[in-house]
Amino acid sequence: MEKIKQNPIVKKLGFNRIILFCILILMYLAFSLVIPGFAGMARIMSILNYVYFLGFLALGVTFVIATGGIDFSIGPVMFCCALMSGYTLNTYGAPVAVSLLMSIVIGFCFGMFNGYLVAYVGVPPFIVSMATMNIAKGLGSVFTKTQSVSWPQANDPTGKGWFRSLVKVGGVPTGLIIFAVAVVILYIVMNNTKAGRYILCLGSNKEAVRLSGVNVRKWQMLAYVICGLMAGIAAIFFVSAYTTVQPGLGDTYNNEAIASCVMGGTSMAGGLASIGGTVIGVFVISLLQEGIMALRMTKEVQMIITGLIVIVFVYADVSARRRKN
Amino acid sequence: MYRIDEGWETYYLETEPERRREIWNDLSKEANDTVTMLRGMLWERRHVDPKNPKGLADRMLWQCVNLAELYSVRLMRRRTAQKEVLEALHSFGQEEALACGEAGENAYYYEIRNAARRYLKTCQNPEYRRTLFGLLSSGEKDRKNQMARDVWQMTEGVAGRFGLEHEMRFWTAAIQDEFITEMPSGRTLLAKYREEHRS
Repeated sequence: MEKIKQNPIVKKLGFNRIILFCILILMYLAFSLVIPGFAGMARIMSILNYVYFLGFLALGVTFVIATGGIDFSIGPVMFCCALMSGYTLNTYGAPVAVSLLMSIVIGFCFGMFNGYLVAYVGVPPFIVSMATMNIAKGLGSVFTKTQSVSWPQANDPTGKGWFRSLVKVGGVPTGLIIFAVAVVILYIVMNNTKAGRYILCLGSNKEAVRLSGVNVRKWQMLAYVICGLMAGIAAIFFVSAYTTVQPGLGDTYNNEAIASCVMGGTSMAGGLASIGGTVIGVFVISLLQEGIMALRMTKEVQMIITGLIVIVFVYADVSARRRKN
Repeated sequence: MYRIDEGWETYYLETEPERRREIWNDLSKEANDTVTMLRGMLWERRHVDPKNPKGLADRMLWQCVNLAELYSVRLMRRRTAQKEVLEALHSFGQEEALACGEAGENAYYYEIRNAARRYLKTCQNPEYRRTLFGLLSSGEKDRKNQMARDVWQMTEGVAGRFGLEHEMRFWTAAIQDEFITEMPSGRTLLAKYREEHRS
């Protein structure tokens, strides 16, 4: 095993990521064997629908975790964005493009709010994001008068369903192309830009970064803003793949997004983040959700399994740190 | 073997930049030689940021954190990393210091040790490497091990990975020496990371 770990290619790609990728392949094969008809293009498209919005959520929260913080509000913020923009579209007759933009702006505002409270006011991220989670749920419910919001279908006679081509045009998964572009951009931001380096360094030694003359508040806030923006974009992909958004929900996606990050190799202590690992983690979680659904298990069982996965990977991260030390 | 010149102990033990500047001002009145001027230049190179003349920066302290991170970036190109490290060493005034001979090397080495001293102080801050999404502080043992790992990564780790052992020799020696002086178990911990890396 040590020999494999020391292999230059394995070192470069990351041993944990290779293992996670193997788990992904094995899971797909296992589901295909156990569930008749699981393997196939329709199933892959269904998995991808989940990957898109969960992927954006997980990529966003990776930046926050890299600073040594956390954002438990991403799921409800995504739902709040989808509800408010959808309600504006249906009730006030706003153009689709404006509604989609509104979704991103709402996500951005939530990111600013969280970032300001954490970086400038000094409230612990855990408390801030828990509070924002409730604010987002409440705001979405109040704005829509506690009614669910339906986004137009692709074949809507008014032509408002064009935004669904963001995830699929004919048989082409356009969402995958957009997601891949976003992954590349965020990978570059995290690993090859000043902003990314500051964000990572904040997670490892915030005091030293502050004494170096770096405006730590600005960069810490930026991580939360990126996270909020990603939640807004995730909302667009959520409504492009599914139809109805219900108020008061979304918190289950927090666990899934955080689990994707942690299993992908992003350290809960901050200072270490893996965009590639997060992407593989997102695929694992999405495949798992699809597999559980195909096994006709209830949503509640899915929640139990996701919760257990979070515990397992958090424990693995803690014990890996202990072993390293 | 490096040694602090007589009378300059306080200057190198103090970690606050403003206070160090005051000490330098006092000492430079008595000894206005080349090495004293070099010390002043090294201070300026380290703390004066042309983009923000009002505030004091600390380039060496920043590189302590930055180089440990640079070591961890998996798909970093060797040439890009080398360029980044060499630019950092240049910004410290390494060439100018080495041009002054043994006395210059000595001043440069102690300037880096001073930065390491400041860095190790920041590791005592409860914010250092908090775990579980910032909810918990690291335990004492974890903190020491983490410090050792960071010190190894920012010195031998990054130098070895990007083939800069010669260019970073003063940086590596100064930071590791300060760490070993500050932490009695430092030598053993560094040896452990060295061995782990070799295997």
